[in-house]
Amino acid sequence: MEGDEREEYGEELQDVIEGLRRLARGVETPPALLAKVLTRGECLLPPQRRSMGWWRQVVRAWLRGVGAPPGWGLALASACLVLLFAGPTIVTLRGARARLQAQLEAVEKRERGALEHAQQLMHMVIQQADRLGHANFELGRYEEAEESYWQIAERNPQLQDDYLIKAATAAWYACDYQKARDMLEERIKDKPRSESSNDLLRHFVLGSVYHSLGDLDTAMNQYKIVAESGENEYVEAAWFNVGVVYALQYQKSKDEKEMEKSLAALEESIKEASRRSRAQSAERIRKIQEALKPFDQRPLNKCGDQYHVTQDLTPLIGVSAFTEWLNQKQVLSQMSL
Amino acid sequence: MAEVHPEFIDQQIQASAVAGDYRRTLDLLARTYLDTVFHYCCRMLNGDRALAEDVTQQVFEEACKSIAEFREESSAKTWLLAIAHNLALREMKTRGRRARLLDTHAAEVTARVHAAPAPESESEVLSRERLRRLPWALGQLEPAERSILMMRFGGERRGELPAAEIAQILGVSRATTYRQLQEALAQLKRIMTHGGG
Repeated sequence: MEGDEREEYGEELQDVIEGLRRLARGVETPPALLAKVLTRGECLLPPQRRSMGWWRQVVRAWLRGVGAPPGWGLALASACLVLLFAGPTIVTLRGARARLQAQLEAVEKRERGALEHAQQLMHMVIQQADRLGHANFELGRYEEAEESYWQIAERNPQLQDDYLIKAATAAWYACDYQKARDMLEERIKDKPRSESSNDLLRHFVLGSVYHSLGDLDTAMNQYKIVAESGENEYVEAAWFNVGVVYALQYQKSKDEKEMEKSLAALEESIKEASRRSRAQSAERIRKIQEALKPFDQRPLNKCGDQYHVTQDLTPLIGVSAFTEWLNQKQVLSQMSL
Repeated sequence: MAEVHPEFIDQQIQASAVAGDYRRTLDLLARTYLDTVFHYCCRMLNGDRALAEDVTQQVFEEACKSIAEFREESSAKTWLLAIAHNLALREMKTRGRRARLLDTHAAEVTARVHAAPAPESESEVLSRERLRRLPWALGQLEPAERSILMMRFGGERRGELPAAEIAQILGVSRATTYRQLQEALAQLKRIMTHGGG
């Protein structure tokens, strides 16, 4: 370890350094990875090289074994004769080998070029398909957009995750909630839990799909995965949606506890928003107010009520605890701005 | 395989590579540095373990292909992390392209369901709450900044690289490496405290 880190980086950065080390301690290497690395690596290793020491040892052993000088001399003379006749042949063989090696390298180079070219073409095809999908999406032709994204996802395993989310999103906009659910469920089913942004987005969209389908328990589970994953870009929205689901449950059961949970989740959402900025917090409060608008006063959509269901806090209209809480939040928000 | 004292691992690795015993070289490399490489990849790739696993495998595959050229100019750890650095940056570039393609719709989705903009906060003290934000804050750094921090501080001390070896990987002077490290740390702290800028 070099010098004293406190001197090198300053006292004020020590907590960050410690944080980085603590973070590393939290990462566990998958147990099967070592075996995979060894198995795949061994196939790629160059052939084992015989060391010169081995030859020296053989020659030394042979020399030790040769007792009588005449026998030794005879052996040396035989070796010289062999070299004299075999020398030109060895040189010719070496030349042939070098030529073959050069040909092989040329073929490999051509293959590499062809492969790169194929990759470039593939990239262009993907870009075109993506542009087409995007244009269709913008025009509200969600089925066509979904088709483009689905094609990319099916043909490119590396891009599959991203484009399945896009395709599912398009299916959701097209009000085909079942299809969107199937796409996302299929992907999540066998995948280990990860907190990458794509995975969280997938859980979030899946929650919204279940929400639209009326399966509130599953929607809640999906939202909670996102909401409880710590800092991420969807956490604020996830808490809001948890609040919406509790509000719907309150409407069904009239259980005060459900209403209280809804308020607590909305509170979390505002807290997450205010952690980012005061303006974001105010925006969140505005969105809560908007979610109180009756459906018939919202823009028309061919999906009907299901379209608005993820933004529905109407079950809380007229609930005094909620009204009081919201008024208080509005006053605090205006004061802070 | 006989146990090798940790202090002599690098000598053993170099000796087996020079002797052409590549299978043993790979075995020693993987058993000694797999964790280090995986941790590095994991943090570079925003905690995406599946992707980190793929990139870690690629690192060792690359190492196997060029194992015959491995000599004593650098330590085995530096050599492996140099490969990991290049592969992780390449992977992030590819993902960046993909993410840009995805951005539009992700934004639409989150707009519809009320997503949040870039964070901003006023706290001054690095609290437990802010440490909780560290993985996210790391993700906001430029890939090169994240890489240098992970090489220097991203492991148990055995898995970390001294600035001189990082300088070797990046092809810059030691003084430049120190400066970059300090800047990256300060930037990370800024993001954790104020949410960016």
